[in-house]
Amino acid sequence: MVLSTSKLSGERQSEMFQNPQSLVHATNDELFSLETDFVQQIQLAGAQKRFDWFYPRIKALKKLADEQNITEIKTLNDLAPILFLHTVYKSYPLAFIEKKKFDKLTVWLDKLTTHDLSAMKTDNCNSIDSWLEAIEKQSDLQIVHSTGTTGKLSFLPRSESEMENFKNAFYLFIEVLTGVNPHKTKMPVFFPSFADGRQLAQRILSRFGPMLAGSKEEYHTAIPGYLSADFMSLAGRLQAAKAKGELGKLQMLKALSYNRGELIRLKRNRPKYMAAFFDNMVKNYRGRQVFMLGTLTSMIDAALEGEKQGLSNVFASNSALVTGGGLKGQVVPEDWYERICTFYGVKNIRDGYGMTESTGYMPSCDQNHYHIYPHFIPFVFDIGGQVLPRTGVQTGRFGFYDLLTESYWGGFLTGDEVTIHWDDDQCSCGRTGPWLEKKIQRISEKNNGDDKISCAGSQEAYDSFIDYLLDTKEE
Amino acid sequence: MQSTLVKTMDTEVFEIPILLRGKLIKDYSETFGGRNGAKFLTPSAKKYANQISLSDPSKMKDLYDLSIEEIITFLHDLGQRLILKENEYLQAAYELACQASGLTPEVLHTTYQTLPMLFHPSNIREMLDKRIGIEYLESWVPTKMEDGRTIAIRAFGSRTVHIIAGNVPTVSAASLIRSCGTRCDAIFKLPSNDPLTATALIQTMMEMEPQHPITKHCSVLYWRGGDTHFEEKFYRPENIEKIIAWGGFNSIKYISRYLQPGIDLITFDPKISTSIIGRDAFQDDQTLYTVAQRAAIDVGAFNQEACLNSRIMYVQSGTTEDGIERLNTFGKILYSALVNLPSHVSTPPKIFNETLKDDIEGIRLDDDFYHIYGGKSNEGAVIVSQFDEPVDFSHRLCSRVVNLVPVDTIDTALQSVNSYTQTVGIFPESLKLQIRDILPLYGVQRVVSLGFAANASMATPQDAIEPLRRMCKWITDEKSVL
Repeated sequence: MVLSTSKLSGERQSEMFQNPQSLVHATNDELFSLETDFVQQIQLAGAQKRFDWFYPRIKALKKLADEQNITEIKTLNDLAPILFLHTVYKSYPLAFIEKKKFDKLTVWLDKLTTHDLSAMKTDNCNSIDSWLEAIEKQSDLQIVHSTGTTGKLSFLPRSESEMENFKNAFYLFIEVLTGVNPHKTKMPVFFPSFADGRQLAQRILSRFGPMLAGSKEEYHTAIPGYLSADFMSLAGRLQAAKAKGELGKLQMLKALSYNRGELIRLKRNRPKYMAAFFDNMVKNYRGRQVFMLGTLTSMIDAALEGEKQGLSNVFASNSALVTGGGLKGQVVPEDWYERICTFYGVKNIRDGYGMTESTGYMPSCDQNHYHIYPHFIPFVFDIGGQVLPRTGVQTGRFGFYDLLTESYWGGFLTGDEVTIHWDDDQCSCGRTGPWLEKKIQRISEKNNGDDKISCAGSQEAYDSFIDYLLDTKEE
Repeated sequence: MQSTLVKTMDTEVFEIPILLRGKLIKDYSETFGGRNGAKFLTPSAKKYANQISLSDPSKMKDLYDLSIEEIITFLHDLGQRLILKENEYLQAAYELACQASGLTPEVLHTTYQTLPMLFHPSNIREMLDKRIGIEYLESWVPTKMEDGRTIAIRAFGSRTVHIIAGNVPTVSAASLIRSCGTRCDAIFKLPSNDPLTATALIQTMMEMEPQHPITKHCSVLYWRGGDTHFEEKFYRPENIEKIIAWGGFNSIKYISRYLQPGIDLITFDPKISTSIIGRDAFQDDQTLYTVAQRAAIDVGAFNQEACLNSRIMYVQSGTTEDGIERLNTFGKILYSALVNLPSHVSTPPKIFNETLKDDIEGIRLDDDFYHIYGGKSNEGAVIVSQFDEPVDFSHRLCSRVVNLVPVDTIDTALQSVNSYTQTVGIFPESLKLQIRDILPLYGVQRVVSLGFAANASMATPQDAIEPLRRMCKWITDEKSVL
């Protein structure tokens, strides 16, 4: 073992070797001052344990590892061929949803999780929401779905067992970005979106939002109620069908849309909800230090809407505006950054890089670099799929192994191209460990892929879907 | 032959002149990025905006001093000069296409080598006679009407703009032949994925007979589609009468903004093609091998870059366990036939689409729903659905990746075709006869014997329309008895 010169005691170091999940019990200062060799040894020890544990429990992993002849993890790069592609969690046939064969969807999901779903009763389900609910009633799973940019949602089988890890990783992230330690300091939280749902932001904030705020009363969301997975999926499929000009499909989707009454209510009430959200901000929290959390596009939408009501500098300037997700395809005003800061009254916006599949996020520093926590083992691949060396500056496809997962395999190969700086090129913010440059690009967009509707545009997709169903817009 | 289509060696930038009614324009001022990283330089189209179109239509009169036979001879002479190893313009076009096109050098080479065949007199004569009737192009053809009048009809050429597709270089040649054969004034807008083929054809023409009326009625240039400043001046009824547009949904939708009375739009919009294979394919091993061979050509020709390539095959294997097993066997044989196609017909692609690769790898971990043969590298793949639905990413299938879908009845296959379906390759012939009256009702535009999808001819209708007839203006001379 290489002894670290960091601030960790020998006891803490050996705990990290024994249990990689204890990494999230360390402080940010500790985690970002560890030496590379030490981190990589913890990561290797952790990866070996995680692989041995997951291999017999996740059928899809067993299949992939067997095909790749991986029987044990001897080096970090042994993980490279067994990272799951980002498409794996949406590899089910969409026909199962359209034809309501939810029992088959359960069979599919069963292969991706350590939880045994073989006895699940889901054959009576008639919607995605009811299927998710049925599974969660009969197991510990708390499935997270993606925004489904093409209408096909990814389903990630998270469960209660990793929520504590997520909370710790999330708190670490918040602390780096804001300087506020959420374990100790509670501040009001504002989230300009739906209160409930199974999309990541809703999942995380409905649970941790009140904890960050110290009470339910200090946690504020814009729209009461549940962001339906079925509506998200229909909205995405509608956008995709429109983009491709599949008019027949549009009619079919329209026929699929039930709960018309609920949509009408939502559309009618949305302005009222937003007005109440702003009203609460101004009347009760004007000039106070708060957390403002959400995807970047939801933040911008809310700010532009608030501007129209003549509002600006709503919160104290030391408030923490934390976001992620990027602008992606959404059309926004050129001076959005300045306007968002003026509206909320903050000096800057802090963000992180992460995805539905990651436990927590990678925070940006004042140099605008994303720093990678040691519980993520990063990989960068060249165009031929070979792992690039862990030295210097490398550009390629990003993959990672997340040591904190419990109910699903932690290895992911993303669709993003990143530039990584390994440890021999330390960031001038002083943190050790590898970091990513801010410019991250989807490989599919780089190569003129047709999947242009990005997750950041989903709220727009959702709104136009409602308009379409209600025939308020000309088609 | 002095080539002006020079690749600037140090910068890898290709120069693409404007060819304007026999005039060569080379004052390069704009740089464009082509697809797949190629770059090219062109003169500014805006600068020549008011010279591009033929604002005085009476200037088309010179085309009527030529007989159709003279036009056919002219095109034949042109074809004789389109020999790849001798024609430097074509070589430059080929070289740039090797970078800009989705096709590989081997397949492109075959396509360029076969260009002269398209210009063969018998091909052009057949096209004009079968699709229009040469007499209508040459003269006023009289018809006696029920009311006693005599009506004479003649087909005149029109002032056209061709927005051509670049996925296969043949499109440039076919568009030129159609346009010249109907005595049209033609302006070709180059596609960024094949920016030189049409230029090479017309530059060869200019060198052959610079003052020839046909040469004087052919122009070719590039501008970035969406340049409204230029396009609003250009797409006006006083300048042009017909727009013949190939292209994706968005580009056709975009063009339609310029439509107004006096401008007619003829579209070849994006299409996909499929196959329907009846249960007879499984009657014995020999038949199955033959069917696989024929299916492989429909998938692999032009490296599956063309609209006529099959992407989904509905196979009447049945959906029982035995049926699926039969289909998996067929999948294995088809994969082998696909990767063994000769390289002048089909090769692995230059760049395999990353998104498609991720889609394929994403479903590979689950044997219950799909079996995948091949696709580990970029050689192509056969994805066999284990139930009667195509893959969700069927719209992305390309680079020799085909999806086999088992069906119990042909009805299931019929349900899946729609107005976006161009060609359906069918086996056996008896099945084709049985369903050819129904398929068009669903939107199908062309039915062929399995294995002959790529065997397209200029002398047939295309995309369920008669483009040659529509490029003409049909004028009547009505003579009253009194």
